[in-house]
Amino acid sequence: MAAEALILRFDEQEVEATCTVDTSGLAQIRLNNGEPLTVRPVTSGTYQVSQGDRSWLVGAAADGDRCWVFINGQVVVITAQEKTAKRRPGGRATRDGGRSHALTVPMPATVTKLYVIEGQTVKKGQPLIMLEAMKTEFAMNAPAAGTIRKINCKEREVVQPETPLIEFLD
Amino acid sequence: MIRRLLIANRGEIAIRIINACRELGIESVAVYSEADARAPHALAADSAVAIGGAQPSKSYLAAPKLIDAARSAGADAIHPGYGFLSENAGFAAACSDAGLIFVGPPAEVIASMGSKIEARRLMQKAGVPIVPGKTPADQSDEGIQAAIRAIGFPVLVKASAGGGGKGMRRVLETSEMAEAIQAARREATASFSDGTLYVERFIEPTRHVEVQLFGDAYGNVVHLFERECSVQRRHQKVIEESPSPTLAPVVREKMTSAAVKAAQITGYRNAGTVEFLLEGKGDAASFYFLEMNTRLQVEHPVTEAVTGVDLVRAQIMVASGNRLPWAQSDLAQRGHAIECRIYAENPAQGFLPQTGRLLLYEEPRMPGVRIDSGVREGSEVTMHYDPMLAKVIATGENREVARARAMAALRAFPILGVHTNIEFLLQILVHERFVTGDMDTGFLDREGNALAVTSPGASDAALAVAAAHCNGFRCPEDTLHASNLPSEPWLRLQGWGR
Repeated sequence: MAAEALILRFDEQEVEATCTVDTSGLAQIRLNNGEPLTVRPVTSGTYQVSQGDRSWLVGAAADGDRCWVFINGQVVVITAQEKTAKRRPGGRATRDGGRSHALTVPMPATVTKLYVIEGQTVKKGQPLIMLEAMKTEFAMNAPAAGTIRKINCKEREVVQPETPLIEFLD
Repeated sequence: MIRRLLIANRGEIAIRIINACRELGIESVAVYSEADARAPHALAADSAVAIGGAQPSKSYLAAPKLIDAARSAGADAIHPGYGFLSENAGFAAACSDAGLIFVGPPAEVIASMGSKIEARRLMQKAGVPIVPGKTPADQSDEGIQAAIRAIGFPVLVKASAGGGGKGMRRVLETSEMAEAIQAARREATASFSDGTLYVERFIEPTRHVEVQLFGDAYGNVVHLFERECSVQRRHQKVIEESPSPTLAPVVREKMTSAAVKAAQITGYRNAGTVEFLLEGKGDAASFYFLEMNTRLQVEHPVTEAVTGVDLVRAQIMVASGNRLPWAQSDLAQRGHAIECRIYAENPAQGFLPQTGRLLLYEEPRMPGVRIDSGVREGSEVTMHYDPMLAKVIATGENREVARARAMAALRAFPILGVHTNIEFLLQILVHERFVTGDMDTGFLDREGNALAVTSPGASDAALAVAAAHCNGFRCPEDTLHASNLPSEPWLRLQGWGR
């Protein structure tokens, strides 16, 4: 494993990570050129990480360029790309600088209630739509503060995954 | 004695029953839908029968297919597990008609307790306190509204054929009535094919405490004490424990006696649970009959842990015609057990149900921790079935030990590929109200969203591992891969012949 530089992204943040393998075969990782962390594999999905006299047991699994990480009950999904790869921010950038998001469901569901209308301004976390699937109702909320650009569904309609139900600009 | 038992269910409860069969030297027959062909429960049984499409209506709810499967496999009994057809009187009767032993109460008992309205009537007759309520003969919106006004706000509009928290809506004021009635009727019809509604006074704050019962065919009935199940989100249980941390001994005595009376008046047989609502505190707390569940419950392990019994084993023994294995004087609560249900849902996204493949799944192994699960690494979590992945049951000599064990187990239980509620469970376990045992059924609905917020950012350790993992840094060939299934070599052997 060469000294690969990766750009790690999670939430809205970015960190540069360089990895080398030391003489004992352990990975040494530097984040933004900070103090190295030592990573040792334990099983095929778990690692022991140490820095100084502190250590953690961490689980990891890759899914395309996304890496799921489990640490102490918390899960974070980190995107890892080689430093030289083209930047791919979440959502499509639009001319006015905001980002366009589309809300979709992971499984067929019925729209029970729409809480917003096109053009409406919403706050982060504000409920946008109530859906029913697997005999349970669940609400989907605004991922960030922004405006409802377009609504592509109606109440009582059965919607499929992949359909952008609500288009949203932040 | 039952010789070959067909388990008409899937996931963790099917595995639980298969394990009991193995201990008793009984042959187990699993059934599987197309989506479950390689599921752990299908591979764990002695033999397995394909029963149809992924959708439950085409497989796990298809009574004729299940009975045919039992016949063709030469089974002499069927265990329905929980959910699916476990409280379907028609299925229980069909099993008997087909000459199969149904592991559960008689069909008539399932029928009478299955109607919440009929159950309330019987309890009233037995002198068991019930939640003040009304069942309007006029089931139109106006009829239900009249019943609501007669009881007075706040009320709960509930499905008569309901259970498991489905088909119910709270109504706090007049403006909420129409929407609530229609939503409850919709959910009731979808979940139970029966939109009949009744109305109950909504008691708040309240605690949900249930009593485990067991009866045999010789008229013996015992109780196995109570479980506290107040940590619920939208009427779905999340954390259960036994004993109840705040139940006064005098109330426990009255409640367990009332539960036994309820079982006796219904002629109860096999495992069942009476659910009560508790109002007030200490010796002066009052309790009301809520409903009776004529099946084994998801949270049965906490009762097993503190009473030291095996409820599934007892179910099979009693269904085989044996007497109850215990007298009331044999039973006592010792120590404390807490169960946490792990769901494939994302609390940070409004508890959105998750689908996907379990890329990493490693059960923790530590003293006092039991894991009941129906999945393994590589399992697909689909939209067809309940999103519960596993139950973590932590037992200790007192509640503090059990709570600390539950937390340690959750922190050491990496599940990746779908979001789960593990972090949410940890937030509940450290919450002051949970630590002091001062829970009520409204707690999670009030504070759940605040507890569901994930800590921002990724720690350096997480980032370092992501970097190493994505660079292909893996464990060398000679390191033993931790097996998720303790009996994996045995499962591979049993995979032959299919």
